[in-house]
Amino acid sequence: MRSPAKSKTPKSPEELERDARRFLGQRQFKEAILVLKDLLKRERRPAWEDQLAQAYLARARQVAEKGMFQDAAMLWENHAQLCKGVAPSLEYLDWLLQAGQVARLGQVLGSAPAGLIDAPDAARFLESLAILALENDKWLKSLPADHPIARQHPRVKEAIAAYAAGKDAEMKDYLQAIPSRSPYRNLGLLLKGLAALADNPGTARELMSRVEPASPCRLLARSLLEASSADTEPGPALDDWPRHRAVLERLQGYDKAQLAMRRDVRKAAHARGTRTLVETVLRYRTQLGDAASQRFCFLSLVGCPETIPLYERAFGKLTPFERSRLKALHGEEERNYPEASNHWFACIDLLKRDGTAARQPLTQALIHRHVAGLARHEAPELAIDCLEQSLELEPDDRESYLLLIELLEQADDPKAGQVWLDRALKQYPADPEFLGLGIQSALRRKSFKKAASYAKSLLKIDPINSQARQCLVEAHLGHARKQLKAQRWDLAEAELKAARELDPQGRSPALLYVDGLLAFFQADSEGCRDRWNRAHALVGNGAMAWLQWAMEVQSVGLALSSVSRLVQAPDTKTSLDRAALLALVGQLGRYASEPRQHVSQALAKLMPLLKRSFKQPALGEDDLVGLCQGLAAAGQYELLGECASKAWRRNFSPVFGYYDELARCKGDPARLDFHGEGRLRLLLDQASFAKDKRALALIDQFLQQHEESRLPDMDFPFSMPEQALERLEGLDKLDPFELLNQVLGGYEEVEKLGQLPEKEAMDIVMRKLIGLAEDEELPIFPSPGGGKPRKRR
Amino acid sequence: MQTPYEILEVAADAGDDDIKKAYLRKVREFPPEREGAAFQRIRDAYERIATDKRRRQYRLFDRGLPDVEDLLARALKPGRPGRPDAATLIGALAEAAKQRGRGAGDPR
Repeated sequence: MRSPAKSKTPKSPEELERDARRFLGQRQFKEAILVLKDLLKRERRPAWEDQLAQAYLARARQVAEKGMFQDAAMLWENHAQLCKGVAPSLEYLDWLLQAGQVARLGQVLGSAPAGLIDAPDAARFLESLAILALENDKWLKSLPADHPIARQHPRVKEAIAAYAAGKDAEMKDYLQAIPSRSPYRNLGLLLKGLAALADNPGTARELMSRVEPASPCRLLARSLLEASSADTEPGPALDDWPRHRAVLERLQGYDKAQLAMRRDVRKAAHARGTRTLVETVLRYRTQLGDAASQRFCFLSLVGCPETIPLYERAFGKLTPFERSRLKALHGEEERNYPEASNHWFACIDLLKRDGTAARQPLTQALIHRHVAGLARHEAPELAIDCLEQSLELEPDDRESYLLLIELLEQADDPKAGQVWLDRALKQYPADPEFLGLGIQSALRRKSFKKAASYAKSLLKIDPINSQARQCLVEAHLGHARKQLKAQRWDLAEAELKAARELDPQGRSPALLYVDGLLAFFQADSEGCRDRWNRAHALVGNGAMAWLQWAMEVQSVGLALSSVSRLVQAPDTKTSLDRAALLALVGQLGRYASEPRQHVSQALAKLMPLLKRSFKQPALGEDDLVGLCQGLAAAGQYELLGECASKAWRRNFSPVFGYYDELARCKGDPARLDFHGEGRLRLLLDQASFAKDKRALALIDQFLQQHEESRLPDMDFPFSMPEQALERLEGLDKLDPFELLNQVLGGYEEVEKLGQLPEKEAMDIVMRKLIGLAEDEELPIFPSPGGGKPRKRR
Repeated sequence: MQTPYEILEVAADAGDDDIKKAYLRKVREFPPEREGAAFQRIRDAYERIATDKRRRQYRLFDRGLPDVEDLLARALKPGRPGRPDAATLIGALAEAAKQRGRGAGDPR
């Protein structure tokens, strides 16, 4: 950073003061010090002196954290000069100690207030000083001659020498003379622990665990505790503590050759590149053991295939298969899956050529499955191919079938999925997961007998499986309806009996409705009424109950009016709440997918209720989109138009304009007329402007379908004025915003359009689009593909 | 790092029966209720090589990492424990006293 003092134009004191405050606030103490010094050169203001003193202290702590103890001590002294009478702090003494400034430390301690270094929080400082005094007597000079450290120092040195010489009793005698509160107390514990290590490890551990956490003896004590309890040699955690490592190595009794080998191997492991490590291991191959070295080097090949020649020179040639396998694994490690797959395919080729290896198909199948696992997200078609080949080679792998069926479903290839599901069911006829998939697939294909057969098998294995029960109940109900229609009451009863056994608690409203129908045909009006009332109560939602009832009644060929006296009619004067409305539309979707007939007749009575329900403010934009989707899927275009127009009036997304248009066309893109197309194109621009991806996709798709539906020989039965055609061609070349501007003439006019009725607004747009004056008559546009002009709306 | 074969103490070409026997022997030695961690290790090893298919998968796709410390631990054989001399011991303690900036008395 550029120093503020070096700026060319001298700053005013106010500016400098502001700078200083900013630097202090941002903990940029070095810069703050320069600015404050500059200020003080101009005027000795006490407030600036105080700020400078604090900046020196904060900067001292900053540099101490970086290990720059000499600088930290100097900065602290600058701080002390500005704060007259401030006593030396322990952190300052510690920095002097760490910086090795013996003479200065002696001076400071000599002039320090009594009791500073004897205070309880000075223990760590004193212990460090005491230990450094053992290494170098010069430290003693910094202390008063009668200080406890100076007095105890010779005895501790003797104790250490006695320990090193194996004279433990002598060592204990020396240590006995050390008081329990001495700065050497932790060293005493450590020495006793070391002496007990060989003969009494339990005592040694107990003594060493008592070394205080903040003590400089703690690291050695802890390393020894770990080494003795785990029965291992010191690990790489001591790499930065070479003297500690030397003590531990001596205690463990490794010879020089072993220590050299360990040092070299670890050094190579820390160096960059596997090659150096492999070379080092090979150099110590005899000491490390031939088998262990070979295994180590072999495992290294995956990470670094470049060392394969080195490995082969030492341990012999690898097979081509092994080379390809290692390269494939290396590719995986590098996340280069195409390369990995290529090497795996090379492995398969080699296996195919090697006719002697036992059970090669299984190994090939395993490799195919492995590649499928690598490719399933990025290249599902490759995964599908691999899984198919793997199952051809080894058909007994249920996970592969499941994944393959899932991938084929995602790839929208139900035919192939069915083939593999059938093979899976043949391989695992009693597997609940495959039977469940079989039921789903059979229902999708409307193969109800097959679904029922799978459901029966599944219930044998899993008697409480709800999917299988539901499926079987539906199958029996389907048969019962047919029998009722054919007036074979006994056979219908038999089917219903079977269904009742599967639903002993009577939870299926459909079963109760069909049961009620049987009672009706058997002239048991009371029984019929009772069952239908129970079914209504089960459904809970009056409109939904009516719909289900009406569908069941019509399914056996009865007119609704003939039995409606036996059932409670829905209250059509209220409206449905949000949940009931969504559920009912969902049910309509299910009827459409089965598909069931007579839905419109069943809905007729509910129409006013439903139309009123679309108006309720509790429905949010997402709810209304869901309803429109459901109604479109159910093919209920009258309701769709009602729902979409209600939502459109609430200024929601352009998607409702699309649904409104879809309803007008009754879902058929070929029915889209010129007005509708113009409206959709405007909506497309709106959606693009609003970044409404959902509306964009739906409208775009519908317009494309509309284009495709146009007959190739379509001929407009009216002649469009030439100037209009030219204008349209010109407009076609413009970008959407320019197009809007030219057609509608700017934002204000667009706003006005929004306030007009839709038909009027569309007429204005059409006139502007083809360049007609207000008094000119708008032509009647044909429906594309229809061949004949339709009546304008 | 030990291989599943080493954990179960079976030969690298052992078959299903030998591996199952070895597994059951190990489970008796390290029952789950008393030696939870050891049992889990044994169980994992067994799961990896219990059948021919799994052994093939292990041989084909296992990417065991080379472990320097494991290699050294297997090779190093400590001799008679000795004692550090006074200078080495004091040097280690002074090393910690001087390195208080790196984490005081308990650097790890």
